[in-house]
Amino acid sequence: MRLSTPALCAFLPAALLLGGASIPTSIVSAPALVQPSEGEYDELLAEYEAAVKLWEEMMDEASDEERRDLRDNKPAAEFWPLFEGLAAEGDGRARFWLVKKVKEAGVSLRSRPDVLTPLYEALVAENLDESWFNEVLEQMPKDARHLGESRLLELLEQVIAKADAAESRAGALYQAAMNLREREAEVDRERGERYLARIEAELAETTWAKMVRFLRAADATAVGQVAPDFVGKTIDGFEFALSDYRGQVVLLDFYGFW
Amino acid sequence: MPHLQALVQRHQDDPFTLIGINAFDDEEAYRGGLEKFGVTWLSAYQGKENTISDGWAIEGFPTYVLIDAEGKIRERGHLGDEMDAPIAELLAELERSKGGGE
Repeated sequence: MRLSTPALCAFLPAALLLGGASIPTSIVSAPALVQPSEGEYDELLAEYEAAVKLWEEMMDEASDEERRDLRDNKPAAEFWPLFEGLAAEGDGRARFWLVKKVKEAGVSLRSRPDVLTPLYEALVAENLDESWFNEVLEQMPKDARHLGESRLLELLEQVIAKADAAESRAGALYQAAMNLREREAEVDRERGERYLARIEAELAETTWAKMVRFLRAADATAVGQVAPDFVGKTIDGFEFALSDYRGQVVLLDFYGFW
Repeated sequence: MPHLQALVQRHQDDPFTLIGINAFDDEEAYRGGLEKFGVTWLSAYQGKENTISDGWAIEGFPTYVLIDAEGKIRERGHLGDEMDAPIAELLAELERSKGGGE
């Protein structure tokens, strides 16, 4: 049986007053008893979110000194072992929670590669067709410096090769392409280009295909490029083309009155 | 908008064109806005479909894109007055090239 959130709520401010500046970790701490069960992730997440809310309220009311202590006792650190437990049981979303909270939970910079690498490996091996895997793919490049560029690319290649879900495959192709197009070697950049072309050809219905279209537009209209022509129409029906104004200096103003 | 009016005014005798490309306003708001803000220059109305802005990778509004007389994109930015100096420079450049060609 878990300590219910309301009890936690009532207890915390009083404890803060009594304990002065130091906040015993057991108070900010998550419930101690965890029984593995279905829907456990959702339950744990709800408790974590309640603890965060509470923590924020305490921050608002705390003195400077108390704030320092609160900052050292973020709920993420307290909940870390619980999510870790779920992750060890094979819960993919708990794995991803750990990935997202690695900094907030206070995992040192030096330890992050060792913490993140097995988590990402497990996510890629077992969760790559989940509906939330897009979020993993969004996060992965942000952890590139912890994973290392080559490990990142390896993981993405595994998703490209093994995922059944079109979104996952497209996302991995996109992120791999983003990585490859920044590299020195011509072969890498060409491979990145092929990956983008694959999204456009085979995975055009995915959300990542929109990103590719945006990228293409950004490339085509970057400083130094020849402006692509377009036809515009005024509200009164006058039609004009940008090319009508060749020979003049033109300022385009993309705007709204809203 | 007052800034854009001044810009158009300043360069009314120069080979310069300001083209507005409106996004996300409905027709009523758009017509009202044209009047309220005194938009006298060329302004494209896209309606619900932002077909032009989609092709220009517009991430925020306003976005300004400065194009030289050869059709080359020279500047992109979000602050109108950032474009004042580059516009004047490009016009001076154009003036010189014409002078040189004669």
